Amino acid sequence: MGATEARPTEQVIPTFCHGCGSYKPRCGLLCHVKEGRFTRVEGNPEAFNNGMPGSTSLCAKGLTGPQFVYAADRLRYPMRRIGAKGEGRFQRITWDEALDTISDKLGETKKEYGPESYGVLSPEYWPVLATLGRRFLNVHGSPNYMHSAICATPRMAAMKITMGYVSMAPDDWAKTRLIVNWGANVENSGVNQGIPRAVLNALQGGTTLLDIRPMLDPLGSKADVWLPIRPGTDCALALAFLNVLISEGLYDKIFVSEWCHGFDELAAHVSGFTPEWAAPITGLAAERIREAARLIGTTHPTFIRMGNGIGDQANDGTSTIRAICLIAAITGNLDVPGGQCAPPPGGLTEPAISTLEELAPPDLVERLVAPESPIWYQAAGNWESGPTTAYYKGLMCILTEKPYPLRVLNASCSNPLSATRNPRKVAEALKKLDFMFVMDVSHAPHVDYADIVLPACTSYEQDDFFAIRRTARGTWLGKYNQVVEPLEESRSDWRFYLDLAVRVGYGEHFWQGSIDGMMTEMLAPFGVTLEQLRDNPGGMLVETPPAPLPEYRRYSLLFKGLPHGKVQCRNELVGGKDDNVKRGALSFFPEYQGPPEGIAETPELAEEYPLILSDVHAHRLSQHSYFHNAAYLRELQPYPWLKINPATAEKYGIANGDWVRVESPHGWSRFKAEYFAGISPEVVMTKRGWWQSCDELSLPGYDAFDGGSEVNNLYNSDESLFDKFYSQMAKQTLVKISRWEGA
Amino acid sequence: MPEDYAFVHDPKRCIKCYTCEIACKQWRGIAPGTFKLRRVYEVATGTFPHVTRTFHSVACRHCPDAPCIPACVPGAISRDPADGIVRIDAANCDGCRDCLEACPFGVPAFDEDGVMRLCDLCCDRLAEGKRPLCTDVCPTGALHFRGAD
Repeated sequence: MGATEARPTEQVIPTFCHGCGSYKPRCGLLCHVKEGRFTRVEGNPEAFNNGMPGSTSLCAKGLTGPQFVYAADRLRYPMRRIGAKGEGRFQRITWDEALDTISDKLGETKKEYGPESYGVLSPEYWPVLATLGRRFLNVHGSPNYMHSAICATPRMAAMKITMGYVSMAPDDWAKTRLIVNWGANVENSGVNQGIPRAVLNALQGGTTLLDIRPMLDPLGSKADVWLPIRPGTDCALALAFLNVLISEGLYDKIFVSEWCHGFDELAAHVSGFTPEWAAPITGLAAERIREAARLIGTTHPTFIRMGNGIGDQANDGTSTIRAICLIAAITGNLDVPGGQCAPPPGGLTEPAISTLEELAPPDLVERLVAPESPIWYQAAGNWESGPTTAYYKGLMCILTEKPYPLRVLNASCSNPLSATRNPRKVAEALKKLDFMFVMDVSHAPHVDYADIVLPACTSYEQDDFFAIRRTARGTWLGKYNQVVEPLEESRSDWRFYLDLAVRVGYGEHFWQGSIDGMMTEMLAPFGVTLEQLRDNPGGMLVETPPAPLPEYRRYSLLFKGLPHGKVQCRNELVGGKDDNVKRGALSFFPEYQGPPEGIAETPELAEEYPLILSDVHAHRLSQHSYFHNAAYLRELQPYPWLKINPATAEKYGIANGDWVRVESPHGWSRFKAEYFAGISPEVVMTKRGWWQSCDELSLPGYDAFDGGSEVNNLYNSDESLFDKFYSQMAKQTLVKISRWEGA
Repeated sequence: MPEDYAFVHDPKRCIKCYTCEIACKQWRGIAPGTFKLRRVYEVATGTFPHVTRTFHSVACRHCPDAPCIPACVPGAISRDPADGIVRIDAANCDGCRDCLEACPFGVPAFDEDGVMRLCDLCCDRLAEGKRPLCTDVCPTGALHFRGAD
């Protein structure tokens, strides 16, 4: 209270939020500082928040910055482990000791086991890792950038191999007549990133919304049609849509004849996948499937937003996305106004540096410990920043030692006990490592397995980066400004990578440790000097050529890299080629695999475990498994929740708010029942990652293992069932539930 | 609410993101786990799969004919003649909650000491020509402020 009298002594400093993860267009903040303390936040109207000039909009996380900075679980000093792995006993050391220890270990293991014995966990697309981290790997000689296999790139790859390009949004949502929101969780993963607002605008303009998700989420509650599909069965639905569209002639005959390869074979492939076939798999009535297919087939233009849930978190995610791309293609929606558009040509949207690929060993890709996608596909340069190992598979190689074990792991800002499946096996792998170092903001559970721990500062405590916005008037560059001094000995990740590179002897490739050198290289493409950027702490607009007017139907260009220059209804690009484990051939057509455990897939198992479990992955009040320490966010979801249909709960004698023991064939975890009518009585859903305590509210964190509250403890992690193209893992299983009497 | 000021909330555009609720708390420095001057809530009806969810965001409307004012026996609630904003004089609030009974929107909130607390339309921001922060940050354009202009 008493804001008015406080204002004259407040400083207001612009910077950027990282609350949605650092790969999204970060929202501009005006941070208020009073007597050296970061107190409160408002939106920066200069920073094109929500993709709009002058916007000051933010989200719940963007307004919680001070609580991230002053959280009790912040790491404060470099530490060395003195107890057993997992025990959590550490001794404070200096930055010099920490850097020397890591540097010595990297040198020794490179000499003894080869450079590929070093692996880096990728928390998500993280600018530090995509630039400095990748450069470090290349100079060191390791390909083992351990990508999650659960986010974005599997979907993007499936789109590229089917239709030659990635489509995440139409050119203009207002032109779209039918939006199909399929497994996309945009009101959770990017509240202030443009899409929710654009979808709502389109709905007000008369656009129809078809929402295909297991829960009636906020945007789904505004949809014209909601298909509450069983988690993990979307590929079956997509195949049934293709079946209806083709058998009823609801496709664009001219486009198909000119631009589709193998349409007749596709038609034969899907001829058996009728709505009646898909109904008992998906839990949707055949007639509803047929109606939805007809809606897609008769509404133009249609844009299908393919989400993380169906493309990246299902073990047949590649087939699902391939099938959906073919739906968009045969209905004549590719690269048309309001349809499945390719992104406009344009310059950088993220600061970049050369990753010095030329310094890496020529056989880099062959050295991958567990390739995320097939070697042949990676060797052809199909990647965002370089080769990738699948996160979970790479960790398991530590245990199997096949083809070789990683020896040193950099597990920074990614908690592998919540970021991937099977925390128990992950912990075993971490224990077996020769050496692990972690740089993090918080004392996450995996920190306890590290040999060296380094305190990272938050984005509010550093000024080593800048943001880019492409606008109609040019490119806007906004510098990060330090809002407050770093907590204790915490440092920026940029600073750490440069210091480590110098220490290991790679200084010549890392500007001899100079942040200014790095920033200067990042700014060069814009013709801007570091001095100019620093002289404009509130941001600056750089004249760039105006964005070209959108062009449509650029098919010969978009399909150029595909066999025959056409959409791959029969996929000659991947069909018959090695899969990612070199144990079989990839299919020519999308194939339904389904979840490893499901009501239709494993009926015997369903007798003992009658309910389907899945999780939402992203949530608007947390970021991956982080931010449950922030009291404003935590008070809105104090406990690990389980959305359950009241009818189901009552059947098991579970009251709203009761703790529930949720047991799958792989483990058990506990969650608090939250009655929710917008979920099928045969499905329960939760959210992963509840390890953080919130001291301000006296709320505990929860363990990842049996008896804790981590959903990843419950999923199947049999690698032979992972997607054969991009290593996606299922996040659907069967469970039995009962009221939990413990605590 | 003063005739020329109004919060306008459109449930059709609300996605229950809680941005406005947290904007208010952090701007006013309200301790977590205590009271809320703006509150997001949901009304759900029906049974699966025929379910309707509607989202609302409420704060004091500063009603022109505010029923909380006459309901307050100690006279702690009044309208500021200078700006028309309904204010609470915390020193005179006896925590009886009659205002809550009187308010048709269930708005009055009570702090740890049982004292009623009220939205002041971010009068510090209004004085600078800005809008109340809750309306400034809404990502979907569901919550607006109609100002004196």
